[in-house]
Amino acid sequence: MYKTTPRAVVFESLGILLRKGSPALFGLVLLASLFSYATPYFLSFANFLTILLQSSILLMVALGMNLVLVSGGIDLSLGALLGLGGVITVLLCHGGTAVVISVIAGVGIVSVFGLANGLLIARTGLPPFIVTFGTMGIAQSLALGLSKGSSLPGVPALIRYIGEGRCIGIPVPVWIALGITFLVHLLLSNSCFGPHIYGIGANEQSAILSGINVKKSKIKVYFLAALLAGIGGLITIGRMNSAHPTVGIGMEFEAIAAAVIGGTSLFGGIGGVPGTMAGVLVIGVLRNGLDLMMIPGTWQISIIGVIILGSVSGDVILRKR
Amino acid sequence: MGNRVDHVGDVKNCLLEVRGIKKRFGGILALEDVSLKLLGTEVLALLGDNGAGKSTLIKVISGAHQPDQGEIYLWGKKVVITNPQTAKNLGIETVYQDLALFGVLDIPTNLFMGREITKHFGLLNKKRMKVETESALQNLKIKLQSLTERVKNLSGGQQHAVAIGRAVYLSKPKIILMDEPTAGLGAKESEKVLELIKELRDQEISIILISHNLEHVFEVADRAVVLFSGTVAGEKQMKQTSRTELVQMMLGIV
Repeated sequence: MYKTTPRAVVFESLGILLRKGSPALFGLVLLASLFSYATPYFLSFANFLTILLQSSILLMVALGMNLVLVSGGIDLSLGALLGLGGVITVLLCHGGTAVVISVIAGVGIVSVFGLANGLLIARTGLPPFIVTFGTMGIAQSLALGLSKGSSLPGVPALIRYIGEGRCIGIPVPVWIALGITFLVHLLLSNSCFGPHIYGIGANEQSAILSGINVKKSKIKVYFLAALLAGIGGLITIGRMNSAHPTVGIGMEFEAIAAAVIGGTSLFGGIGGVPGTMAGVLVIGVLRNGLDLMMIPGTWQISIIGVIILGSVSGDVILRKR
Repeated sequence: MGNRVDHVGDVKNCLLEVRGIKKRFGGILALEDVSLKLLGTEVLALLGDNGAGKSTLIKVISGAHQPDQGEIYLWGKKVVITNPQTAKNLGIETVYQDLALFGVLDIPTNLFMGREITKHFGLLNKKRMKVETESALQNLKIKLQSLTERVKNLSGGQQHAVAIGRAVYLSKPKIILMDEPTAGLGAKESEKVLELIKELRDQEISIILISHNLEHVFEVADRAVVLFSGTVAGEKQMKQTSRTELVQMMLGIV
């Protein structure tokens, strides 16, 4: 019944590729060719590394957002948490705390916010949109209050290495992003946690009837998303050699866009790590290419908006089919 | 332990017993004092008009609802079924009326949801799950182009088969609860489900079957318990009753 000839395998993989990630991959190839034609600076190994470097922070947030979306939720607090984590770490460093402890504290406090998101959503049944909107406000004002609304320049060498160092010629953030991407992929596609959160997102009631601990899984999802945002915040302060309380504002939406461009459904149950990665790269290539073409950031946002509208309507249309 | 003494004659053959089950939803009393027994290897039909409490009772036994009062005994031993997982661990599987499938997920993921097969380091054993899915589908006589197909794209009968297959082939249940397993199916597909029920009984699995279709009930059931507005209106051996009598019990006339 199930032939496994090489041809069948090729066709099946092509089919999976077409359904799961191809719009994003297609978009990526299209954009890359377009920019290579439009500007001579685009097609080079150095610029390729730059794109990866610029994309690594968004990838952290998008991977977490993808988990949340797959589980049928949404997390609006991730951008604010990314900023807050950086502010806490830098403040502690400036206060004389050991670097490693400052880093653990920054990422840890952000993760506690994620835990709180998860607990509130799982225990009270409040909509994730409302809960994370609330924590977004708290995290944002905390970041502004602690930093007194201004940026905090100067971070220790270790954190700068995390943000802008190189290892075998490849930027450290790219290594971190690759490693974490691999781990999240393992979690989503090769552990029991994966099917459980797909199940929760696809049909929460059925998931309960299948004996899945829905509350625990949801708490884990929001915790992991915040943890990843915290790591993103760490890379951010390293790259900028300072902490900015507002650096993450709007990043949650860019992360949602990346995930959706990569085939993740806003209705839950659908979405993978490879797609999310492709979605992040679409946004990264777009920003990089438009920068090289000297198109100002203000206009870039509307171009990205058009692309988001396109992919979300694509998602809805595909759902109806 | 008193119950063992009370039912000496039955204990050997009484697989499942529910006693004095009461369940209230807000102001509505869905079950008021329902008791019934499921014997070793029988198909017990649970009949009743809409709102009689059939599905609620099934959900109490399957762990989806907690009863406000009452006890459940398995092989004469008291059990507390706090959630669906407990029921599964006790060997009680359920096919729900709405099938409780995951539409956007593929068949193996649907079949193994909540009981994935793993290898070392807790990694999923996708290969084995695929192989077992194939053999379950073969048992169910479903032919599909690809296992990666989303379940919502399958036909109604195929979706029913996947839901039943999940209850039957991936664990070794002693009891299967089926809530309207033939609802919405064509004649041919219904016949398949009924055949499967008979087959399961031959494999010494007891079944509680909810159905509105008395023809189907007469075809497969050994015994029927009729509920009427949250209470047991009566109990009949299928061979000693008639359609008319059952309908009258369902309507509360008798």
